[in-house]
Amino acid sequence: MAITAVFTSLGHSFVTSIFAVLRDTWFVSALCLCALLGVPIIAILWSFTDISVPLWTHLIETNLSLYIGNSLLLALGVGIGSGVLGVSLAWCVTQYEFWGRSWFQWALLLPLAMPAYIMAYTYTGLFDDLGWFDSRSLIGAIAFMSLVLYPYVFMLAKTAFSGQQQQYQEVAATLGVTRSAYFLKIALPIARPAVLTGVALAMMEALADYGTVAFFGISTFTTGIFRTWFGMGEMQLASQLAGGLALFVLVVLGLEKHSRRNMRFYQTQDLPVNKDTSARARSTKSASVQSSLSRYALSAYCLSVLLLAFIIPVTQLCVWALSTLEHIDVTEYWTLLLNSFSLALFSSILIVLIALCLSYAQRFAKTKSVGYLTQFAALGYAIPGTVLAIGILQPFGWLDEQLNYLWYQWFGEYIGLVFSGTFVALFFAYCVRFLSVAVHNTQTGLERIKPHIDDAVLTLGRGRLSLIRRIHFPLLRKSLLAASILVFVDVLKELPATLILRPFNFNTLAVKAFEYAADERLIAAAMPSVTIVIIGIIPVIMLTRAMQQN
Amino acid sequence: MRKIVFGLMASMLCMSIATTYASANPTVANPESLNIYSARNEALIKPLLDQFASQHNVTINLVTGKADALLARAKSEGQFSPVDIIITTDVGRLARAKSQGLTQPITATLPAFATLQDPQQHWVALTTRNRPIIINPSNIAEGEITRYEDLIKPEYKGRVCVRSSTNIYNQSMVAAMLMQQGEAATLAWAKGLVNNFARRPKGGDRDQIKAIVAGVCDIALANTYYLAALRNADADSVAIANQVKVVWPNQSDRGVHLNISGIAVAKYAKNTKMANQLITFMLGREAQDWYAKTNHEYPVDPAIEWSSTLQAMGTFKAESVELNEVGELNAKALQIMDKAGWQ
Amino acid sequence: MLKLENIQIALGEKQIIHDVSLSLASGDIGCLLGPSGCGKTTLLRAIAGFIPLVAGTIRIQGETVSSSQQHIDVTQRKVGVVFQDFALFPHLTVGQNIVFGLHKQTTQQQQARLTELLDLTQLTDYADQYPHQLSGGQQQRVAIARALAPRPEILLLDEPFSALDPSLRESLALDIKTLLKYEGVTALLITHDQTEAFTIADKIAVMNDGHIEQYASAYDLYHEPKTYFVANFVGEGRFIQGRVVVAPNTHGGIQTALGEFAVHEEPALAEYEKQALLLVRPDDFVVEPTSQYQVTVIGRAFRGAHILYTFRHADSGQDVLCLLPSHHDYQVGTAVGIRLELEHVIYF
Repeated sequence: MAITAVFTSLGHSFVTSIFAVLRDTWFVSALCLCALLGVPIIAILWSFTDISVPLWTHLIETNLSLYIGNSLLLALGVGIGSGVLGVSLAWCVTQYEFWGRSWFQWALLLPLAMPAYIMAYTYTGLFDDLGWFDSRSLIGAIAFMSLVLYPYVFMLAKTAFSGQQQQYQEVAATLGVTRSAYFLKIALPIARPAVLTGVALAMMEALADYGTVAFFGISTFTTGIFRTWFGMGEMQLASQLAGGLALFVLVVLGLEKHSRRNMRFYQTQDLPVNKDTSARARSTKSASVQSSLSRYALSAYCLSVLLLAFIIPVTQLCVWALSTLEHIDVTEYWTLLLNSFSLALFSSILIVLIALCLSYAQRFAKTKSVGYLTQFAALGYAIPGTVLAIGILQPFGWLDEQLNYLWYQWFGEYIGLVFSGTFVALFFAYCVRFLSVAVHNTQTGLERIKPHIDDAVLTLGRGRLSLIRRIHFPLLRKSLLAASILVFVDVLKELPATLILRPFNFNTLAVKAFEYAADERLIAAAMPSVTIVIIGIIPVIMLTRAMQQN
Repeated sequence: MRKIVFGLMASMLCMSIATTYASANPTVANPESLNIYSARNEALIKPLLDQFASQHNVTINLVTGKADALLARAKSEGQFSPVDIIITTDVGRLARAKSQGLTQPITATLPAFATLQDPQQHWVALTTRNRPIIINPSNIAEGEITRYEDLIKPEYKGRVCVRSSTNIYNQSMVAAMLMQQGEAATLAWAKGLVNNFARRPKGGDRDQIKAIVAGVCDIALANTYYLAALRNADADSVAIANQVKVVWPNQSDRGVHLNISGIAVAKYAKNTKMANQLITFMLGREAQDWYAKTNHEYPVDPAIEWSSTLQAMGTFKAESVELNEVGELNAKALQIMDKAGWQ
Repeated sequence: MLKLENIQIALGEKQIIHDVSLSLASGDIGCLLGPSGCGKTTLLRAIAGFIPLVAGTIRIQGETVSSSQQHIDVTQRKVGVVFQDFALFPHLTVGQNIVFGLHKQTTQQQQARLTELLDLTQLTDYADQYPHQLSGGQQQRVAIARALAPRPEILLLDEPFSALDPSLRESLALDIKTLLKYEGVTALLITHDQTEAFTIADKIAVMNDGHIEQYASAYDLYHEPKTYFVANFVGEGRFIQGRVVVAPNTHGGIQTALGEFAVHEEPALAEYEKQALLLVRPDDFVVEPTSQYQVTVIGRAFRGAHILYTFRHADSGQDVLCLLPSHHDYQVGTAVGIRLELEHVIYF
């Protein structure tokens, strides 16, 4: 009797501990995922085990201060530029009525489709042709990158502003606070996490950029890495510089996360909102009277940003592209198109799924460390595509080697390369690089769903999967769509990693555009550039349509 | 509506994955295929490769990119690397490929004129490229500048445009100078040059030429290749190109800096026979002629006539250096440029 | 203090408010009571200044704030609003929320007023907490304190208790009433819940479909409803068929299945009669076993001290509600003798 009792209790505790582990599956799977994605980062950290003092002395004596200084200035400049642009535009578009407002809401996202270096090439070529000033400077780089990157901030700020309670504004009005004061004291602070996320994204993009700064001849960390690696042939030193760059990004990420930490912005109560109140409130939203002058000013502002950031460069590219139209090889072009499109589509689906898994792991697993894991994995964004590619090549090469040895032992022949030189390596690189973009969106979206909802569904007897499928998914649709579109466009524009890791006979539009531009044949680069931009527009339109429907 | 769009995209996706996977099958090297890593842009090399492919009934798989990235890729792929041929646009990278053990000796019998090659025949030059001084003839008198060393003279302060030190052509030039003049002199020269810069290095060789025409500077360093390209492009470019003049430096001593674009057989090439045949082809009449006439480069085959554009630039004496060593001094050259503040 | 004269409000094409007039004396607590869609929210928002008027005037403290020609902006009116979901700024502490409207005053003045309000609402210990850390009732008090801070002329409350625990509503309502009376604030609240209205308001305007049916005290509304709608909406009760018969030079009487009662019609020269519905409240009954009026219990709802019975009068087939002390405890199907004792004879 006693023995059976002992066994039952042992068995019971065994079973409960199994369940405990199962409950932690979220944590475990997140851990595995992040470990996998962290491989390049680990490879880079590993390079710090081999520090060469003479090389570093040389670096410190000559270029290091330049790298740090310029990178800092670039990141800050772009952060401020894109922040100011994005927030002001988002505020205008959500708060005021003016000509073209509903159209600008999505049109202002269009610059997302344009890679920064293409805009840089285009404007420089344009200014050169016109004989105006030479825009190849740090200020120029900041300006162009801000114009290209503000949509990150714009999109997030817009969602934040329009999601804010109508009633905050009304309350503020009854307390005698004017709209501009309201903006500064209420709207902006509440939207701050979203805005900072967008700004952080823009800053990271700026730090990781290579094409623009290389073209402009500005010494930053990325050009320094290339120079050390290509020029000096010092891979380890290059990896170490990359580590330095990652540190910058860590700081940016850390600041952004810290600001988020103290603010819990979901509503604390589920209220039986009076339908009359909300319906009538919405209908009288823009009742405030405005002078027609301010309306024109707003339209003019939005229009000028759009002109500068999109219409002018695209038009110039089209003009150039059309002048080369006779020389185009149609089949080759079609292949390029198909390649780019399918690569981007597949990657975006894959990456958003992974991001979603991670965000969920963070939500369901009660351990805080999942959040840190995700941040760690998202660091890949900071690593320039080239270094990332190299960081992947080595482990993958090793993996292939091992695989081949095993295969040989089992089957007596070699299987060849399975990981390196195939799409696997490419997708892996994209995952590591663009996970951060996707995660930011899924995270924001998931944060907006109160944990109480989860509890409610679980107590109604439905499992987590059902919760996700029927409750979360419809609510998350906007964020998921936003995430997949951002990743799609990013993959489409991606250059360095694609250049290195792509399989044989596989070219993308970005590769082609780069080859021509690097050869200073800007006009020839126009056609593939324009195509990138045009394909990149389609998802932007889809995104805005979906957002409008909701 | 959305369903239709999604369906379309899904089918496109499947279709394209199928086709790309079919065409990009890098796992096992097909005996009837040749895999090439080329630092030369596809457009600049594809016509030749296509010709070879049809002549020899072989499929050519091409990956283009920056030389170092390609070399690193080959290195990490190790013995399973499918690459058969490595093509670069500069000698430094060829030397590096060899020193990293990525090449094997060429077994094909090379024509007699192919003297620009590795001592152990790990690589051979296909064309040569030179880096003369480009001047604005209205502001620089004939015969005023005759040597690279003239560029550091104080009267040229603020009148020199050169592209960034990250460019391999500059690096090889400094490396060659290092070999021939020694470290101290090269460093002094580099510092002097930087002192005379009209602006922070930006853009490529073509941009330096355009800068001369725009009046930003009077002197530049550029490869003949880019000037020739401008002279054969659209009317605007031709107009620009015709406003500058080529000065062949150091004709009385060592000669103008010489660089090459070259080819090597990869160490673990599966198809060495075909690889060597390609090299022979590239050194053959047709290919060399194409390089000369269509690409405006200097063919290594002395029997091939230069393009009229190149002929117009004049004949010259090129430096004779051990190119292999130039390659090996690349890192040192970059350090010197760093110390000189050449961005 | 607050005077609405012949207000007409339209939203888009639709006329929401048709000719509403009411006035609220200083220090009084008024209430707009009515079902969903009757326009009370619209009216409140018009007083606050969010919606313009088509016709009529709104005067606060004698000053015209809204009319068809003129519309003083929300930010300029001295009107405080407490929203249904409180709309506390989540990124500010309780203290910061409360002083938000005092941006024109000096810090000392702000502090003084803050202390005063925190004392009043018994939130002194919570000044540095964030809204999400407070309970619903506490949040409501913060919302009220915030609205009261700049000493508005009128305080508007939009369904202030709908977000709160129903069992607390009555006690909270009393608390709020005490607070408002102590501050001497003129307040107008809107609600669809009668209990709240009765507890807190001095005068209640029953609204229906864009106009005011009756504007009176709770007692008057309950016992002397002026319209059918008010009689039906306020309190519980049923109507039974009746015939008003007015003989010449008399005030007349109403004949129903449950008795005959005197009415107060205007005397006329000729006799006339008309059909009417007589209002019968649950508290109008007395149990009399020997009464000629026998009814059967067809439903009952236990309410603690009382039981609400539904009686059916077999002869006329009409149902009435009756509230009796629960110790009677009649089961369904029992026959009971009852007698109507009407204090107020209300018929329409």
